[in-house]
Amino acid sequence: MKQKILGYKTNDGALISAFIAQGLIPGVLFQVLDAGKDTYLLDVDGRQIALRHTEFTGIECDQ
Amino acid sequence: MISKAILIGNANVGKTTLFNSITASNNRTGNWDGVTATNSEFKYDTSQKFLIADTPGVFSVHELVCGQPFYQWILQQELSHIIQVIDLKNLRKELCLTQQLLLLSIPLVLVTRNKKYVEESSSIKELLEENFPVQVIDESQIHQLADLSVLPQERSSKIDNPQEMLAEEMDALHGIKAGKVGSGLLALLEERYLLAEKIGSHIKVIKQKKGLIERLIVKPVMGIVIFLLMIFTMFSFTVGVGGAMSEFIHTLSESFLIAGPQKVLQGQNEWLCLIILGAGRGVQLALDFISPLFILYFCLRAMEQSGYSARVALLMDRHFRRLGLSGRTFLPLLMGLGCNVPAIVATRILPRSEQIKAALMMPFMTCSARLTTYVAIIAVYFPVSGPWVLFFLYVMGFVIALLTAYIAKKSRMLGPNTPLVMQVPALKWRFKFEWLKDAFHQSMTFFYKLLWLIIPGSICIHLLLHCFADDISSLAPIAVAPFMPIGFTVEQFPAALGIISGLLAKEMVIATMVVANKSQLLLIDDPVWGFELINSAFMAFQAALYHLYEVMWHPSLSTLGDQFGFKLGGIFSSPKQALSFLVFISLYFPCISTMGALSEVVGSRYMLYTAAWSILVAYLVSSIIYWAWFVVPISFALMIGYLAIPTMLRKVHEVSLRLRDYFAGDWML
Repeated sequence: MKQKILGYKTNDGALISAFIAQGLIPGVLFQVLDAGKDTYLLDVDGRQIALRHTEFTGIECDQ
Repeated sequence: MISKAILIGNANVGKTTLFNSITASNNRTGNWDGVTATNSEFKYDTSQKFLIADTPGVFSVHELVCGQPFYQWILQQELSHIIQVIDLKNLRKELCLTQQLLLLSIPLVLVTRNKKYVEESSSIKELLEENFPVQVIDESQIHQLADLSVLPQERSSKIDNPQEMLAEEMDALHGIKAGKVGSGLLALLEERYLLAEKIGSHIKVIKQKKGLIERLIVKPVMGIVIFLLMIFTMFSFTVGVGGAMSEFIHTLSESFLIAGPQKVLQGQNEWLCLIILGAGRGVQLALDFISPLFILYFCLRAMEQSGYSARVALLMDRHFRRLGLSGRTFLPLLMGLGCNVPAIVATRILPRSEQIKAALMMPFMTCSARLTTYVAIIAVYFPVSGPWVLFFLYVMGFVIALLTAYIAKKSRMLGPNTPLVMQVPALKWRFKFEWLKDAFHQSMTFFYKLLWLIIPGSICIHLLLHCFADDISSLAPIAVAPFMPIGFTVEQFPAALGIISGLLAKEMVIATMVVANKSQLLLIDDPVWGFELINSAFMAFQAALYHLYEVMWHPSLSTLGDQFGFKLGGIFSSPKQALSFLVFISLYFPCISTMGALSEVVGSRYMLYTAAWSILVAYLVSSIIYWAWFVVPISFALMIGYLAIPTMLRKVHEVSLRLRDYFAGDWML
């Protein structure tokens, strides 16, 4: 199921910069491909992005 | 005026591949983000009509490249064109960068790649040219770039002062770094993405199914087991198959570089013979290492290009984060197995605190120059257990590198943990001829570098030993003195000289040892020539084929011992001492080039820390291995004592209390 990024729930500037650098910006649709023990694997417009659980919680989604 | 252009694009879109094809260069490529870490020099294209430079992958023009915002560097270059490489699989993200590039007011050309992976509902070329003032060229028509002056010179934007506008965006981004999320900036990013989304919706990416292997290699336990198995297989083939091929090259070079010239030079001036044959021995030694290195480079290349390395990086993240690192650090570390210098430069893709830690770890990653020493010593002193020893040395280096990162984390001098948000490239298992080509190119580059070091070194050492044999022998006690903690005596003088020459370059270690060893023969007793020479080469080819057949079934079987045995035999008194020496070589002082790269990337203070730390660790670990028969039982006894003595004392105390109570009660009774 696809989710849309609405904004960020974190104040960590380095993390937000990393999100922006990898194209995880407001308006982008993504799908969780794999939720492993430590990391999430996201499909963002056909690209696979890996990020840790703690970092994933910094993204505000519509669902 | 000559047109000047740069290649720009997101990471891992294939800019360097395109640059190599336009300029007939051989720059390093890879299937992961950040293979190119610095801007390349401007080079002429193959038709000599325009200059072009490659740049590191960026997702935004505000990223810092070599300490400067990227857009500032672009504006300083006085470019006639910017060529953006676009991966159609990631069109939406690529177009966000395109919209930023349009602000720079420089004619923009888009080169689209990977058309075969997408289905277009309408022509993507027309769509892009309708929406943006750009020229679009498909990768297959790259020859159209040959004359840039034909392409439109129209400025892509009418903004008079793009620098000011971009500086404002940059300030907003700095605001984010300080913890303030500017809603204006996020709205701008969203606006750009929505336009990209509108165009991107006209194409559909053909999804590739995930195979069983792809799922297994990222499983926490199975993934590590598969990785270790792959590394062990790589070393087995390096020693086994590389050794068999080396045997053939060695016999041929013995005939052409030593026997032939010796026959021709018979009766000539002694000094001339010494110089020519000394050089011949140097070249022969360099040739001996080509095939093992070729196998190693090929395996590393296959791991990088297939996208496997990036998955191992993901796998390593859970372990690395305990050391204050992210899994991305693993990628430059893996590059370090080839050569430490480009790997240290590649750490530039990491955040600063992580970069310093990665750079400090790098000298402990065994580079291919050290592999030459390993292969030769292992062949002579560990003919059966060779791959295991090689595996141990690489793993030990990696463990010490991790320990270094742990100490850096504990010292709290390098800031907090860094986030992991990483693009995982697609897996491409299919064999490509380019892997062989790249491995060959890397091996030859190493060979030429080795020649420059070994030929003068070999001639000098031969001449020195010829003229001052007795004087040099009298220096032996002084040369071996610093290495007494690892059990060196005068007998190990060649090894001590090898260690000293390795301070300059690790490639020199084995060359110095071979020449300094008294058993080294400069001349062949009965050199063959003419038909006999051709016959001996043919016999060598037959023998090599047979050995190759053998090692296909027993990859760990080394045949290198025959050719190195007489050169290095007798230097070490036991395999234990040889192992201790190998450990020292693996860990001690990085070479001069690595020190230079460290100084440039992380500063001279950290460079000096690394030098001191590496020497300390080298002495400590190699001494422990050499004195294992003494150190291990003592340590074991101390450990037992440490654990058991308090328990025993407590028991004694309890028993004494009981006895006291008993006797006290008895006395009371």
